[in-house]
Amino acid sequence: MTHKNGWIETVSEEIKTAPLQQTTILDLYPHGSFDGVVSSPQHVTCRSVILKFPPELLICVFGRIAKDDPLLHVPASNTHPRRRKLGWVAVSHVCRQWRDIAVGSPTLWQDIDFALGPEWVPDMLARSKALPVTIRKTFPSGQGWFPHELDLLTAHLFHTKRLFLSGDPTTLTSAVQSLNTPAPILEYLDLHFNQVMDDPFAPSQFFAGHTPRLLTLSLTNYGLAWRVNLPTARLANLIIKYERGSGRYHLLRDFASLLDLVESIPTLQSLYAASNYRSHDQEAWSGPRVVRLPHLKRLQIDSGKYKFLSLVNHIEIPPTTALDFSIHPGFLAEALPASPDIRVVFPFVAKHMHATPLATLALKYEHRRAQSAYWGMEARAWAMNPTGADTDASALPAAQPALRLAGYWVSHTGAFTLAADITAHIGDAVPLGAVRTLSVESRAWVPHLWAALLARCGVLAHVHAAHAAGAAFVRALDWAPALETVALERVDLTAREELGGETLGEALVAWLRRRPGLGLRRLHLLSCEVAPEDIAAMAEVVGTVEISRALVGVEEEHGGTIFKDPAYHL
Amino acid sequence: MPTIVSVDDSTVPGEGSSRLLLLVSSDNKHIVVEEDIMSRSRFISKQVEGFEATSQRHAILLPFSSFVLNKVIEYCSHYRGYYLLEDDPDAAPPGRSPVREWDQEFLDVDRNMLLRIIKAAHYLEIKSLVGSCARAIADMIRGKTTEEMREILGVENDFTPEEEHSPSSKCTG
Repeated sequence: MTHKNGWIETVSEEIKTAPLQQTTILDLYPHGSFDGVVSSPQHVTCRSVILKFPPELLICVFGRIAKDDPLLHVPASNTHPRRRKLGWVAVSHVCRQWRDIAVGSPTLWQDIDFALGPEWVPDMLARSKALPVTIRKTFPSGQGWFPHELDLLTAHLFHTKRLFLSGDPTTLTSAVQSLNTPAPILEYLDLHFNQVMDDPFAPSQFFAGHTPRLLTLSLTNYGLAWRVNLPTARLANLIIKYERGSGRYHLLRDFASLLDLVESIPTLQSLYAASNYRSHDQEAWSGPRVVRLPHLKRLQIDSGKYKFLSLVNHIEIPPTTALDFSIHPGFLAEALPASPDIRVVFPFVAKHMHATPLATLALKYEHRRAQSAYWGMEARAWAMNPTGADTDASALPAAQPALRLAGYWVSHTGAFTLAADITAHIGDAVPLGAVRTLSVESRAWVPHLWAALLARCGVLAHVHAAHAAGAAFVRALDWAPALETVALERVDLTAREELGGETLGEALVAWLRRRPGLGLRRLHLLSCEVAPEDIAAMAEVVGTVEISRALVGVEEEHGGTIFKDPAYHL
Repeated sequence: MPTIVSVDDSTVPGEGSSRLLLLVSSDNKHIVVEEDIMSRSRFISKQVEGFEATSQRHAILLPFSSFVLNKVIEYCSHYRGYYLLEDDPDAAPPGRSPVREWDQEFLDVDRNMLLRIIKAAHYLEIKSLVGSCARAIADMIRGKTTEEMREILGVENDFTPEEEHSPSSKCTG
């Protein structure tokens, strides 16, 4: 990367004639901070570098440690000398410079947990210097708690941005009712009840009715007395959770009250409902009611509980809403036979399913137990993250609209029905107008569904069919006028569907010849049985015919993969 | 104001429309790099904005060695064309920057080098690289005792014995 040519030499001369300017730039950093690294950086110790770190850089490093290594509370009964784990605060004990920076940087003191003890919390709140803070307070069960902690909490509500309160219902109810001062910048309120309370918690008023910026309300194990004055005026996110063993799910006697709450928040953009509580005797909630949530952008259901699952039937989900369902297959197996009337968009375990605009929809099925109706399924956003680096989605190019249906079935007659159901539901639930890439992998496929599916994909450019292609597939290609690539995998192109009829290969050649202006750029046959004469005929019409691991006729190993085109990743 | 030498077009051989930068390291090594690669650096972007539009070649003096500079260029080259949220000045600051597998391998260097890279990244205002380096340094010292931290980073304990044993240092510092 190092070059020498005329203009560089000219620049070099100019640099040499401007020694004072060069000095100026080096002075921007403390003297010596970058010195001595000409040829042997090892000669300079860490010390000379770290001591010259700009404070903001040290704050950045400390902040990183603080996120991953917070101060921890250890019960007072622990007699260890370091009763409280120092966590990130240990950096303030390294040297005077680090201590001054750590103590004097309010951004490092914005997450305060009362569990550390009342003797330290005032100091930490003072160090936050009125910057927005996150406060966590757990009210101990069966023990007294300090009223002055509540006073401290109240005194700092004015700069509390996120507030997490948990504890036994009696204490927590009492505490929350005492929080009667405005919380002008509160954006996130989390109330976590850790025990059963028969009487629904019904606070008269939160925060003097002044929470103008509250965007997220999270309620765990909360009795559904929804008609109380919850601060929901501008709420965008609602989180409702029931934990295993909390015993509070039975409080959900009136499922309609949940819809009442949801309906009372027309600004709602995200709804998350989760329950680990498993019950066999719940009646399915049903009825004609449908709540309209015009701004809903994300609906997450994390539960095997039938009632939460059925929530999707009672919400008018805008077409642009992202759906994210995570449902335990075991729960589902129990729920489905008992709920023939359920109409769920995707009636199986699924994660990260995005509806329109259809960035990616990837479904994979597995038949896990052949002897029972125990079906598992997982979905991944393949195209959004083709490298599989789940933590780095932000670094990747924008997703290509793609749809992948993959079913790996053993012999099971139900598979046909299942494939049909899925296709039908996808057609109902998800507009496919933006899908450019379609992949179907299934041994069990209803042929006529090809036409139904392709007719919905108006701009389809790439289609991949594994196992599932037949004459119906070829006929259905007429529905995809913008097709650029066809990939067939493990398809027998020498087979005849009708006695005396044409083979699939012949049908494909005939179709290609019928559509000379189609502009098909590439035909990829992977592990297909194909006649050599068909290959020659295809090559006359299609720009590129790529054959990998052909089983009959030509034995070629091109070693290519189907998804070479970046726009083709699934 | 950092020293910037703008080179007149007349002295530059014509090499197409893509602009090149000449980066001059503190050890006087000249490194030519496409402006596009270094656009992740806000510092460099700001400097380039100051150049005359007609000028095709620019030189920027940088106060760190070619050894470090080459590492930074390697990073910028790898992420050329990628959108990284942390580097977007218009994006809200992320609560926690993502862990990138490539970054972890890239920063698998000795401590001295890591510290120099983060300083260079900070100087060049490459937030994503600063974040990744900060994570690597944090990983290095997280969970360690103060004595171990001093040992790892070569920091001298300059507390007086009284300060070190004062009650206020027992927990919150």
